[in-house]
Amino acid sequence: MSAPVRETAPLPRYPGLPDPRTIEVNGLDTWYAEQGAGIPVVFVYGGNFGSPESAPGAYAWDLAVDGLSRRFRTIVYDKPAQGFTAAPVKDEDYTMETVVEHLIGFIEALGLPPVHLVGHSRGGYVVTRATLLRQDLVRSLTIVNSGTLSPGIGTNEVILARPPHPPYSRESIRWVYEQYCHDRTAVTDAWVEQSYEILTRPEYRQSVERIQRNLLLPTQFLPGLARDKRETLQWLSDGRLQRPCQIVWGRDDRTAHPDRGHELFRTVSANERRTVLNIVDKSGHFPYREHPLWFNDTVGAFIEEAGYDRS
Amino acid sequence: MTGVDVVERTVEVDGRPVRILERGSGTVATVLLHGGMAGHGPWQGAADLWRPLMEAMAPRGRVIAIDLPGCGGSPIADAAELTIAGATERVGATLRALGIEVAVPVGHGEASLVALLLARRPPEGLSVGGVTVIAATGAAPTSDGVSPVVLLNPPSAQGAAARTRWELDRLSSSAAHVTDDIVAALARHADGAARASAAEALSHPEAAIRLTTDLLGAKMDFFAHCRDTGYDLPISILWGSHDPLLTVAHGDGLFALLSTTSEELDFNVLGRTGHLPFREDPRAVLRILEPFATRSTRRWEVAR
Repeated sequence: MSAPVRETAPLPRYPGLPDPRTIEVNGLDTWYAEQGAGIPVVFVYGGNFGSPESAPGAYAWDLAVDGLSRRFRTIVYDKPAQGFTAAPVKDEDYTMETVVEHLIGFIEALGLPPVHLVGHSRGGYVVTRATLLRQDLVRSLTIVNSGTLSPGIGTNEVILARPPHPPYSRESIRWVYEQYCHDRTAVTDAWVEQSYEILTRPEYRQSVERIQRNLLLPTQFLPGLARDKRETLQWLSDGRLQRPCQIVWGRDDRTAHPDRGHELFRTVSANERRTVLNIVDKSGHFPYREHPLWFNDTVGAFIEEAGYDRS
Repeated sequence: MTGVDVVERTVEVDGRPVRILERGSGTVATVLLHGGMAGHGPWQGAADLWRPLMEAMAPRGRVIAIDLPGCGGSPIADAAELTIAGATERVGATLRALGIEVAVPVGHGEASLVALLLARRPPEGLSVGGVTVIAATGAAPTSDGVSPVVLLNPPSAQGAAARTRWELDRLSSSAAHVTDDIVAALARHADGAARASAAEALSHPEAAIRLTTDLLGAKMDFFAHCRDTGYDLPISILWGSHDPLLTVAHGDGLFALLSTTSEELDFNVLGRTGHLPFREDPRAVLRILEPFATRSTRRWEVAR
């Protein structure tokens, strides 16, 4: 197979993250990095494949890894067709279901004991769906500003409609993240550069063009997600989520209003006693970047308390 | 339990006794201020309410729970001591008498106003690093709301212990914390000298009216301060999802009001807890309170 590639070429890396590694997950060469010891904490960032305006990646978590790796075994990875992880071969695999199954496969491939999952935005849906499907793999979870998971209407598509800059540009990236943030100075040059590096990779661009050419987002990804979200919310209402759950929100997120966090909290806490909602002021969509000290303290304390195995 | 005992003692402050529970040592302290203030609340609190939280805290730093004027073991001589300003002055003086230089006050119920006022008017020699408010009936906007009926019909002719047990039970979502120990402690205070001194002071009709207008006045001062000036220190709001006295929406209203704060501000809702989350789920409160206190005092030390 293609194993020699990663042995001969150095693995690509994000400047703010630990040494990279790869592992095959569900047939995809998957980029990941880890730092620290103790309870394994796996981070799932937001966004989805196929975006020509900005490109998220595991780099999003550099401040969280820096703070939380002093207490936990922090693990970040890139999702299929995002960051440095390979893209699915078949068109029909460009679905959120693939992303969820990939996370489950990643945890299993690493042979991790039950993990704490942290999922942001679209990643909040991914960690919750993965937990609902495989609670045996999960110790507890944190959901951050996830309009994708929450009941109600998202304003994401309104706020980010038709960026006033060309695709695949630094200006476009900066504009997108500035719409997300409360304080625009949070969008540092380093943040923009990391996104730009991913956005301009030939492999990434090829996958975006394929997704666009074959209309995979409007005909497949979004309808599939909408269908599965209905089922996921029903499962939450039914009380199938049986792990301690933390919901973290930036109050000034114009793309996912905190009301949606409150509603998610009501849904989850109705059936899971160990549910908490933590909202931080003066923060947009990325509380772990706008308030890293607060985020790391708040999430770290929850993780330490959440297990049923503490003495 | 951590192996560091909670000690009960009485200190003289301006010639009058103030009873405190205390753990640890140092000049930086987390200061716990109970709700159910004499003359303000529909129920009767005391420092003893904080004991489970104090015992669950990490064994570092100093934590002090104070019997507010007219409660527990802190008798008063004049009804003015029961006002929000009077209670705040007494708390500040007590902390100075104890050698505290930096405080993180934690105000529960009506005492949320005391914690927030202390942050604005600390006595000379005391700095406030940050403020936590829990189930903040005092500070939350409640304009034109309906009055809560939670504590309307206490059990009759059954004594202070029965009434105390009924109050704690009614205020809680989970009643596992309503132990014989806390019921006995609060019932003892209900029949004690401090409550008697408050009852005596409030037996004059003008005094009772003055206290009612005082709470409203303190709220107005607080609202205006938030609107026109804003706080310049970190503030953390904790709320029980099932608080029978105030809804989560009230807490969210307080959160919006405090968003003029220039420093860190957060709002935390704890699942399946009522008006006494620090007793119903002390560890859930501590995982927010302890890192907050550390961050707040660290910021203060840098500023100094």
